Amino acid sequence: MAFLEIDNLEKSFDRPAVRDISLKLEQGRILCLLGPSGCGKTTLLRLIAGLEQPDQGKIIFEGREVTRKPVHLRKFGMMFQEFALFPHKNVFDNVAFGLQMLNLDDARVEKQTLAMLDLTGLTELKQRNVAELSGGERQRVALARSLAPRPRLLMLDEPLGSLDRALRERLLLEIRSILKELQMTAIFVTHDQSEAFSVADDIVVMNQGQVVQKDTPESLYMRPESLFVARFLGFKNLLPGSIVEAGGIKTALGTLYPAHADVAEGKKVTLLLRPESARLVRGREPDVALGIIAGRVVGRLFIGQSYRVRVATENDTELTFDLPNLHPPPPVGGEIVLQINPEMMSLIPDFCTSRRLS
Amino acid sequence: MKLKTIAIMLTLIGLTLHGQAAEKKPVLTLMTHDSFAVGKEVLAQFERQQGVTLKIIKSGDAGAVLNQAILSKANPLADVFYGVDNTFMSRALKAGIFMAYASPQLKRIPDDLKLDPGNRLLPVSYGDVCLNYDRKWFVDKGIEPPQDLDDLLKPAYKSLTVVQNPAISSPGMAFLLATVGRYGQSGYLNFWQQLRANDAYIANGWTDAYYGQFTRAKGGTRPIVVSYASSPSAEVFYSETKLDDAPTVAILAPQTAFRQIEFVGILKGTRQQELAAKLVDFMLDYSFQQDIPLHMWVFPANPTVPLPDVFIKYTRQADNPVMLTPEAIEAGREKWLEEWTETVLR
Amino acid sequence: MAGRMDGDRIAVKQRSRYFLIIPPLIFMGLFYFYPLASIFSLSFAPQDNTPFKGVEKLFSSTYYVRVLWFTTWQAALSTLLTLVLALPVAFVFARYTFRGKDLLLSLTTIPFVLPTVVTAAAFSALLGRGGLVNTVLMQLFGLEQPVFRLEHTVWFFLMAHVFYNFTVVLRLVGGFWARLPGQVHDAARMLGATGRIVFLRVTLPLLAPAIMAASLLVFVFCFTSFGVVLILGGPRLATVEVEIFRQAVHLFNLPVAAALSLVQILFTFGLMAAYTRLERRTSVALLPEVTPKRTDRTLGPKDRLVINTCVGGMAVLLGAPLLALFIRSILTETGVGFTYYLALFENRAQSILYVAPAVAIINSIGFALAATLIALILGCLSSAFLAGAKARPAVLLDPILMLPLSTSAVTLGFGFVVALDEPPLNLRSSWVLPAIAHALVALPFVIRSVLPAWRSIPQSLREAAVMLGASPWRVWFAVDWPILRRALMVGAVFAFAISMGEFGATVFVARPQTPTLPLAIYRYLSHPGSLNYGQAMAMSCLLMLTTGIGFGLLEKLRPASGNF
Repeated sequence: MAFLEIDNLEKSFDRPAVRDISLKLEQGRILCLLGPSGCGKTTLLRLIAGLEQPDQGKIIFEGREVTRKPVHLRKFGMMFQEFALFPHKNVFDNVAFGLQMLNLDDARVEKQTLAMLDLTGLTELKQRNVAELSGGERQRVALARSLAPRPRLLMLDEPLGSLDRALRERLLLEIRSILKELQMTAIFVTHDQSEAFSVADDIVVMNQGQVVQKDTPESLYMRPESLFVARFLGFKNLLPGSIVEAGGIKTALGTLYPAHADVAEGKKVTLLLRPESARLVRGREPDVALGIIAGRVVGRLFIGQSYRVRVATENDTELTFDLPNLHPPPPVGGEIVLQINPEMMSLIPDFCTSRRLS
Repeated sequence: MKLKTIAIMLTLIGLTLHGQAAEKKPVLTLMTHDSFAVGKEVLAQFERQQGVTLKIIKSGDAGAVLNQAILSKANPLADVFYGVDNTFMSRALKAGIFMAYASPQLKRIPDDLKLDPGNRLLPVSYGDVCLNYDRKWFVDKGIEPPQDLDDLLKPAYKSLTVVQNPAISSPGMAFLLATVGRYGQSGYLNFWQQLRANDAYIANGWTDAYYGQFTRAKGGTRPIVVSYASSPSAEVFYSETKLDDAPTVAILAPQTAFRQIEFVGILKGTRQQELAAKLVDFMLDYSFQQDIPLHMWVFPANPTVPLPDVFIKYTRQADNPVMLTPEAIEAGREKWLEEWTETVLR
Repeated sequence: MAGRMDGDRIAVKQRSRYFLIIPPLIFMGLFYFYPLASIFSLSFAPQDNTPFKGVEKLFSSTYYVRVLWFTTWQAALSTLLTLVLALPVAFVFARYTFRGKDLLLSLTTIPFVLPTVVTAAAFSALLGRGGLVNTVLMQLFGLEQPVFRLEHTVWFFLMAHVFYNFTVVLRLVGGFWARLPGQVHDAARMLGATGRIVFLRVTLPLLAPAIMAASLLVFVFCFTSFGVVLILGGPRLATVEVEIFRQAVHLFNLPVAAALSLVQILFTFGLMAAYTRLERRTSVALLPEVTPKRTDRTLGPKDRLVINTCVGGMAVLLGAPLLALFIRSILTETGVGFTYYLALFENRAQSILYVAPAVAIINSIGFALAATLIALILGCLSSAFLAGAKARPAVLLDPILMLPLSTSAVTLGFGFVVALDEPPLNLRSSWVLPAIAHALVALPFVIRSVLPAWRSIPQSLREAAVMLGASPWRVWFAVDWPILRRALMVGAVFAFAISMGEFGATVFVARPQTPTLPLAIYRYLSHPGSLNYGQAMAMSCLLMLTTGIGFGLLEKLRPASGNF
């Protein structure tokens, strides 16, 4: 039996927000709801939390249905987008609030609050007014506050949305390590795939109120199951094609041979070339059996660990690759030959119709 | 949309200001109480005759306005003041805010109205404060209406009377004075004690009494009220439908009413003494006097001017009304009020 | 709060801040302190070699102590009642969207402009001995005696106080409530708080600044209540204000009147100083939502019940007296008709005092717009200063700016007469003076409406805008203005209403012949005759209508979205 089970959940406001969603979540794992804004991920979260009531469907938690259970009895925690700290309380009182709601005696409230402040590195700030905190500090208070009463399930609604990038990355690791340390089961909502990858054990990608793919971060990245997911993850090199023979896919760039292509012959598909899949061919004798792409460099950007290169092929297809910084690629305008690693090509069953890629 | 709204508002402010534009003609200012009124044409006549603009300033009831005049005596607000009555006369004269002026018009006014021998305050009008009753109510109930102050104390009239608090209201004060004059300083409290025992209602002002408690008002339950001798005429004049007879009757039996006389005076410190005197003359003169009844619902001081029909028909003067000297009133006011309050309210 | 946060960096700014408070202080000095000082010095001047003549009376009996006590508790009780009745409605207005909400909100402010005589008439007509309710009950149950005998009881004018002040609580608290960040409530619920605890421990503390601001206004309003107590309370119940009026006008005992005024001022000043300290402590920067949160969800039966109960209750409380007025204005002796309205256009006695309704309306609106403009400008400057000022000047200045509301109308009116008697201040007979007097009384309402909103804007928001390279003016316009605009509109509505209703000190301000709607009503009510009464009712309805339209126009100036 799953720890949390969602069964055919439906919710409409003016238009459908969550459509027939079923999900399972095991204890101790961090699930990430990923999707563009308006895809229904926040609504789904609020439905699970009990802040909204579903029109249909069931939410089963630890084997018991909680669909109509009032919010405050579910013992779930939530960290909000804008943190939603209590502006009239100081850091300590914010964190202590949930413990006080458990009707613990004052000494225990204080002890557990201090422990939580310690865990989140807020001990120094405990008397501080929340208006006087920096963005990162607020975020940590919000996390501490939602964790303090030891919720059975923690929900995080774009908890880093309003922070700058550098801070975000640091805090992500912090959040994950704290959640893991407490063996917390959590649902994390975000629209940023890198955030999802670094924090989640499982990722659910949503679109227009529906789940389009559920996977581990690795397999989601390696094998997006639809064009939507591929595009949402930021992949640009999407080539329409069809299966010609066992393992071969005919595209505008010729026939390419991805490593795993177990699809029936003649089917129209899309081939995804991940940006890190290419390697610069410097010699004269490329191995034809592996995919070779020749073209002209139209853009070239050094981004530290790699070069980002835009390549235009003869038939005007534009592809973007991140090349290892081992050898500098030719300058803009120069001819370039690339070798594609078949292990890093993925097959998407959807057919990409648009000529212009991405 | 917003601009349009702002434009409308500015236009409205403009319209208001427009009316205030000063004119070149000398301006004569008359300070008076809120109840002052006069015909448009009559004032215009004065303005034409003298080539002045008359500005009328009001700021509250008779007492409040007089006090403001006294307070501003170092630098008076106006040239002429109308509206001191005999209950406040002593206060006004003691404050020394009026200058003597023996208007030639005074000769037409009966001596018993001239309470100030120094002619600092000249009588313009007078009226009687007295009991009024609702004629129809008494007819419907088959009860004889009261005829005298003493009647109010009878069991038949229990819970039927409304009077005003003399500490707040001018007719209330006048009625208190009527009882002081009638029963004397030793007896008036006895009257009030019994009136209280007979469940008289003490309203805080004329409006509340007449339009709140009196049976003529919608929802009123008491058919006897302290008002003016002219009230029946006003009831006819301001009736919705044409009335053949007044719906109310004023009780004017001897020693039941108090006569209020209203005076005009020139404020000391005026820079337009001559014009001010002309205004005083004008107010005592025929056309203004004739205009008094229908605007202020009191009698003109000049007995020779003809009264409007509605007055002739429905208003009589009180027979032998109570008169107390202004000095006696000023001397006794605070004490009577305190005794009254102690007797009636505590 | 803000002062603590700003730090040294703002120290220089702090000093230039004082320029903001200069115009309001000059205005207060000229039109409040100077007149007041003049009348006090005149009142306490030695007369007949006995300074403070008559003042010893204040201490010789317990009467005045009892009056002060009565004044205080009736004001406290009125405030409490208003809060209890208005807060649920404020909640409904803040959290729900429903049809006719804007109109209802406008209607609630209409009682505020009704002259006390008219309100009293409406209450008597409704609940008096021979009033509608009693008549109906007596007929229904065949009773001999009226059921309600409210005349000359405290309850009667307490109800009237609630009637007048309902809108103050509704607008000040409701507006604030609508903009409370909604996630904070969700957060509390997620942490295990029940609805009741969320309200008590989160909503209420966050609302505290607005609730206190509204309470203070209502309390001071009721503390200095005059007309309502006078008419509905009857002669046995006197507030300090009534006693001042009696002493000043009827007994001309200025020393006693002035001493009582002083007591009244000091008492309310102490109260407001305490309030200001408390307000500064409770107000928090809470990042209000610029557009009020609307409930997107469809209303369930429970929601409907809540809305209907609250709005229905309010409609009965506020609507019934207004409706009674309207019915009386069309119920003539010959049946339903517009006789009284038509009569307004007819000058029976050719009196100079006759006012065409249009003229009265234009005069009223003119004064109201002038007063609103003055009060808004000064209120904005004052709030800007107070919002950022260090604790000490604010704790002193804030109560000072509130004083006009708590000052006896007679005393201030007399003060004008004594003080403003020489050029260039010789305004005693100018039309400007009533507008100034209105603005003086309206100023506290504007400040109390604007200040909580201003204080709720977090400094960080402004700093973020500065970081993006915006000039201070642009920052103000981008950050503060959208939040303040609504609060200002509430302030404007009150200023407008105060002036339309000729509230407080304005009654005793001398003025030339510029009759306004309330003055016209008073005049009709000072002569006998059913037509006069009917016309007073008709004029009252015109006043309500004009005010309603005025509010409508004012609210047009407000951004299109949002309900508060």
